[in-house]
Amino acid sequence: MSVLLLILIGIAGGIIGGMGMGGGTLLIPLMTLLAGVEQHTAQAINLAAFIPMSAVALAVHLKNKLIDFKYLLWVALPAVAASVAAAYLSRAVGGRALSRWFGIFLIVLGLYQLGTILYNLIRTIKFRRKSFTKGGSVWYNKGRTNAEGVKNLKNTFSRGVHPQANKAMTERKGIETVPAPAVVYIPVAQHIGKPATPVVRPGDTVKMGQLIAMEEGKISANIFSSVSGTVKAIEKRATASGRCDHIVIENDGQYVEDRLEPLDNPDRAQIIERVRYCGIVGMGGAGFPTEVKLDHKTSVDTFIVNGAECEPYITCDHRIMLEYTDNLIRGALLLAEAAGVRHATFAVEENKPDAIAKLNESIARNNFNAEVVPVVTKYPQGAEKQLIYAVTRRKVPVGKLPAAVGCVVNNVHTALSAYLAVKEGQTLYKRIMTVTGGGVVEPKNVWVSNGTLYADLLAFCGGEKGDIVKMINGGPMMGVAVAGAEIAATKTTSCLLLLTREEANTAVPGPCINCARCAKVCPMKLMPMFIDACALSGDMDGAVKYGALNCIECGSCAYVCPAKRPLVQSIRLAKKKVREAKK
Amino acid sequence: MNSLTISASPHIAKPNNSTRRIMLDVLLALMPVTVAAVVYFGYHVVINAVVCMAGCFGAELLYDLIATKKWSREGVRASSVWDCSCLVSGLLLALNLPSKIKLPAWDWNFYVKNAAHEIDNIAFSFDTLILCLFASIFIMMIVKKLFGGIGKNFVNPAAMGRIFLFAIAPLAAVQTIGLVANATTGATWLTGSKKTSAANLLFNMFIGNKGSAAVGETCIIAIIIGYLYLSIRKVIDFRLPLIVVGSAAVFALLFDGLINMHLSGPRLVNNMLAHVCSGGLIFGAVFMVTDYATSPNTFWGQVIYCIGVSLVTMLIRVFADYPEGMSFAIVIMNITVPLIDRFVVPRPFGYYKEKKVRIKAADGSRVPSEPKAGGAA
Repeated sequence: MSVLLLILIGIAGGIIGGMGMGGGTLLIPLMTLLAGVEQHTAQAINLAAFIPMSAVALAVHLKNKLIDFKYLLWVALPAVAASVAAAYLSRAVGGRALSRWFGIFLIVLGLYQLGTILYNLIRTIKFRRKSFTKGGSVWYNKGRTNAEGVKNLKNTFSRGVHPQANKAMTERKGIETVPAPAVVYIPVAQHIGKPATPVVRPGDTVKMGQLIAMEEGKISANIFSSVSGTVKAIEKRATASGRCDHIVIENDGQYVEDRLEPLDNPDRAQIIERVRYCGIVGMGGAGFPTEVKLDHKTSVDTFIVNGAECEPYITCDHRIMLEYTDNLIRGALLLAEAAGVRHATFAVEENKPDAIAKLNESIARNNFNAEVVPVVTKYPQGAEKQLIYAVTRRKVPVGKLPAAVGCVVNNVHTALSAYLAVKEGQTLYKRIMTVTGGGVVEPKNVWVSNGTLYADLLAFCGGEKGDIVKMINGGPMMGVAVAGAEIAATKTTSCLLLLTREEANTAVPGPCINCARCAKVCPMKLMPMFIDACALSGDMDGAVKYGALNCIECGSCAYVCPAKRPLVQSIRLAKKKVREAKK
Repeated sequence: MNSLTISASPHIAKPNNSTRRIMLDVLLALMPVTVAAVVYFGYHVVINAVVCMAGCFGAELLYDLIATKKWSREGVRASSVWDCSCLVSGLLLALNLPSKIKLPAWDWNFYVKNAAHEIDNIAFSFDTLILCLFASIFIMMIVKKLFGGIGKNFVNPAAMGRIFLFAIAPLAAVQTIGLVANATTGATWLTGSKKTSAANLLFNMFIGNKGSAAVGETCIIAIIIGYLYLSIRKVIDFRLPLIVVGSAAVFALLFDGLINMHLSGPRLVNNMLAHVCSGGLIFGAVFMVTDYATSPNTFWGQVIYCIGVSLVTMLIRVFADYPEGMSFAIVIMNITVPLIDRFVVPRPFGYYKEKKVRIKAADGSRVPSEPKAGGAA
């Protein structure tokens, strides 16, 4: 038995004991196992060693005022009595048996500790999911803190990718206005849902902002003329995602505008009605009618304005936040009021610090009931479910709308359009777009009238250059590749992107190597490689099992695929097949 | 404007990210191991490696040409050999070969005396080369291509190649492992008496001076360099080898302690370390368990797989009459991978059980039920 070993054991026991965790749990096993001390002796030494140890530790704890003497009395008196009895009892029990019982006791203690840790861990995770107080005033702070109230959770979701942003081309360029072309081609299907029905005939004279096609059914939106002039024809033309009727209007160059009466102090129903009439849809790209979102039947306590703009290249939302800050927040508060909330939360990615500062400054200056939540720069941070999770830690149940967890999410541009509609009476016939990509001579952020052809837009931005392989309506991750520039810009076209051969993915797909990278980045926690395999072999049940129907088509899986497999395409195929089979 | 490509989103892809890039990374990570093998066993390791890689390359190319019936430049260009996965399989196979293969019938080996290590180093071996070619053709054509090529093979080609050699030349393999005696490290720990008595045994095992078994798995430092490279390049999940080695240590302590009850604590710990450091455990954990095609596709599935590999390895090593179990363990667990992938499927984001639709607030108050309206989510 070496003295050195005993000293080391003493040090270890002292550290544990000094922290107040009962050094005996460490001292006794160390002494019996390593130094070969007999169990009774070890326990006695342990007890004796505790007198000086606890005296010193006590002095420190007393100094920090951690001892409550009222509780001490109630604990100490029975403890002294019991320990006297236990000391006599331990003498009666044999050394080997004693060490065994002590061992069992330690194991139970260890298991209990482990269980507590696991329990707390699970509770913390569950709390993050369930932090939803009905109608509470400060839910948004609660949502982002853990059970102990410590703000250490980052505002983001798990998984996702980090594509190169490429926003530097346009993010410092102010918004310009593209002059309306001589002829505009306004499609009647600019939104999700049924196409609108034209209410004008060839030969009619229309004003700028006049209703030219009426909504058809609940999920649909009105369409307005973006110029003043004469209706030439109603003809079928190609859009970015198919074909539909286009109302062709010849521009007379007068720009006689037909405006609605501005609403000074609107109530909820008035705002919803105005938003519906003005044909406002989700302008992030999906085009879901905003009025349907606002007219929810559940209690909603959170109104989130989506300024994440996680797609690479696009900067139009960024510019709106910088240039129309006050009106944007006013519009957001109008929409929030329509949704039954008095508070708006702006979620902005951290790569836009100037926008965050500008919004905060405006909120402080005008005393708006709004706040800015910086969210982590990651793709797809702007996806609805992921954004709600990042801001509130609530998970939208599979197959449900965000209102199920008390949230309504709207795009920045939608909020701005709502302001223009309610306070200035302007219907939705133009929008801000980013024209960018390596194939554009002069990338710009521009106001574009609906129905302007891509060719006119490109001409305004200096034309095209380089080896262009793809023209994309929208961002590079979720946009739609189009066949030519004879397609009209709509309410939902946030970006026109010309990718050169160096930028675009032109690789030929190879066989899947099962690396599971797609599953590791999927923000919906699906298994794209299995969905792909099932979809290609016609096994639709398998595709559903691996989550095909929950896919948000963000494209993260295909982005990281080393074999460059078109995973999103096969998932869309699976979705389509499954929906067809249901009918 | 020239013709535009129409394809589904996304339109950009992660740069410097391709199958070939991954395979070249693995080849690069195997370089320190190869160098260590040459240092410890001689230059014939390089010859073996070249023959194995060329054999795998040729076998896969031949298979593709036969299958596509395109005996032309286009056929060669369209072959799957250019993703370089065949080279990885070939090099892994070469590193899985025993340091000496001595066929009793032929014995076409040329030895040089290595004074420093007191073991015979093979200068050149025809026995090995012939077996290399056989194994290469077997693993490429039968194990890999017959089941659909890269990503579809259900067992690890290198592990299967090692078992194949063990099966067709049993004498060679067994003799080889048993033959290496009287090195400074004593006998190979696993085939010997399993008593950690030799001085500096663990240190020698760590630097690779154990004069034993397969050429690639000796030098642990070289393997760790490869492991770090692969982890930093994010080619492999850095947790998996740690799980394999960690759980192998636990199983070693349990099983070894079970049959050596009389040994003291420090001796058992020593035995555990020797178990972990010897044989193909660490090599397999870094380069073969992390093989994409033959491991599950979810993290928890991979955890099950890794623990299974170490469990089977330790069962074979401690209880079976065969010194090294890693390659068998990998192949056995490979077969369970489809089963694991079938049952370990992650729950999608926002998953809920049908009964628990209502979300309860923190204060216990209930939130009204979900809306039924709206199809587009």
